[in-house]
Amino acid sequence: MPGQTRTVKSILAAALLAVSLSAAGDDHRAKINYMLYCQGCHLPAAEGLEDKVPRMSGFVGYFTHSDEGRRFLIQVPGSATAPVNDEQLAELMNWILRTYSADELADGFEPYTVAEVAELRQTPDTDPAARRKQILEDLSKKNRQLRRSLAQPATSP
Amino acid sequence: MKNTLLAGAILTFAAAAQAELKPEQLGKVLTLPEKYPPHWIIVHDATFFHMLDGRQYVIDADAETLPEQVKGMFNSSFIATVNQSSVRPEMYVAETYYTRGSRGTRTDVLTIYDKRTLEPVDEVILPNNNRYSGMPNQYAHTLIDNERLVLIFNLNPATSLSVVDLEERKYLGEIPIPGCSLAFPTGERGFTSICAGGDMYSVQLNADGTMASSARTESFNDIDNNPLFEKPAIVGSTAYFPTFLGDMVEVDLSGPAAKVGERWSLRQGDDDGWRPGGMTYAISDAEGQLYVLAHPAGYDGSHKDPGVEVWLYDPATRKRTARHPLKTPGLSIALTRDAEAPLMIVTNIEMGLDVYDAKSGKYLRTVTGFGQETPFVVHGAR
Ligand code: HEC
Repeated sequence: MPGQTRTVKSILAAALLAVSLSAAGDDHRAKINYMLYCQGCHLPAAEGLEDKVPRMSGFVGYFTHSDEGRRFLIQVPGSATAPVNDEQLAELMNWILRTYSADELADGFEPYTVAEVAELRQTPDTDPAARRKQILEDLSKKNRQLRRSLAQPATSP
Repeated sequence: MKNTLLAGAILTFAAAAQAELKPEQLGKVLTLPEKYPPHWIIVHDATFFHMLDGRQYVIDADAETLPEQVKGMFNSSFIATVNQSSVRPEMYVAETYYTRGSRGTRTDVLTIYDKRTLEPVDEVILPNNNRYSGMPNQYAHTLIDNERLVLIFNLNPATSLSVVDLEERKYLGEIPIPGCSLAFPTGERGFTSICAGGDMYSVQLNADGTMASSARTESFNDIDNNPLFEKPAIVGSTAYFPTFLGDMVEVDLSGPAAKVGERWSLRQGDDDGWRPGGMTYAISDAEGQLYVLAHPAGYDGSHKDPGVEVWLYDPATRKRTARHPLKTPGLSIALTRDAEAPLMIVTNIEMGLDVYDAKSGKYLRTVTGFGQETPFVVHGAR
């Protein structure tokens, strides 16, 4: 009998897990999408390429500290033009932020919604490099941790 | 005795020869004409297996023998991109060098060659060292503004275009083309790029090379199911983009912003399953007729397969006017720029150059054995 109870419990747990996954998005699918469509440039641990592709690990979360930064993460061409639908792009960006840069996320960060992503990706950037610079300049004025991070080399292991 | 006789015979012969042959002047250097004859071509050998070492050959496609065919050669390092001027006796090579050959400090440079001597006469440093060095592509190196400005495609992997003033021989700056690639001349002083979102992005420049205006089309390029090839044939200011499944999509580049036009089928009877494809698959002649390289039994992934026929279209009627079967399947097609009797040059799969009469499709000769290895792209000389 105890064995049966355990089985029932684990089925219940699995069902609960499935429910919570579908609410937060599918981590497995997000990871596959990252591998298929992003890591060619951003590299497997989101470490980037010095002077070419920005490091996302331990960094990209800073952008969620401002509305403009939050918009930027979806409007940057790699995101906006990714060959995934709006639902999967929202899921992917939320997964990237949680997986590679949880420590830098703004307090009370609200995950991207599908509607938000759908709208943002309609208007891609015209000059991502200049916009990125401006956003980080504005953010670093009030964020000491970011200032320190920017002073470090552009990529890290 | 025998030896003396022989020596005597040789001496006599040499004396006779001396009387007939004028001693040849050594170190003779010839110059080429400022305007190349209509049937000359520039052959871009990307030297795929050792890219450090690319070459451009100047070839007379009319000539029958190798010594007559080969007019000269100049270098183009690390799968360069090239273009020729029709207003100055110059050719331009955007290329890359490292201080130790394959390593060391990188220098990207636009090298300016004199068409008459094939000597580099000047260079403009491209300071960001982010030049696209992928497979040769005529739209990675685009002349605009009556050939005053050249746009050089950068990919590292953010995309942009370097702008160089060819009259002043001066680097002007960079225009970002986020999510987009290449440059098709557009409007008075601008370009259009093809984008990952299925749209196109047009920019007009100020005289100093800075951005004056920009516009995006709607997303119309169905990248997942039937994408446009990225290299159009351009007639006047209309670009003709074949698609993987065999449509032709017209894009009007006459105004400041690209306008998407008609879509029609390249397949017009008795050609089920045929598709366009290859490396340079769509070109136009001086009269504005379109030539498309095609292969049968197309499948998902056959878009780079060699073609076995070249199909001709009249853009005014959007009707196919001829099918030219090729002697040997080809990867790239090119045309000389004369209206009278243009030649069609096909880079065949054995990496020789087959020469055809473009109008009739009659095979004329094969140019090969001039040192070429992978002559992926051929340009009709200007
Ligand atoms: C072709 C290479 C390439 C691919 C593929 C790519 N990116 Fe990027 N990404 C870049 C570059 C380069 C930048 C720097 C901004 C720019 O110039 O586009 C960047 C910047 C970003 C940024 C902003 C980070 C910062 O610090 O500025 C985000 C977020 C991003 N990419 C997400 C993605 C996602 C998500 C994918 C996959 C769906 C992806 N990228 C695929 C090249 C790429």
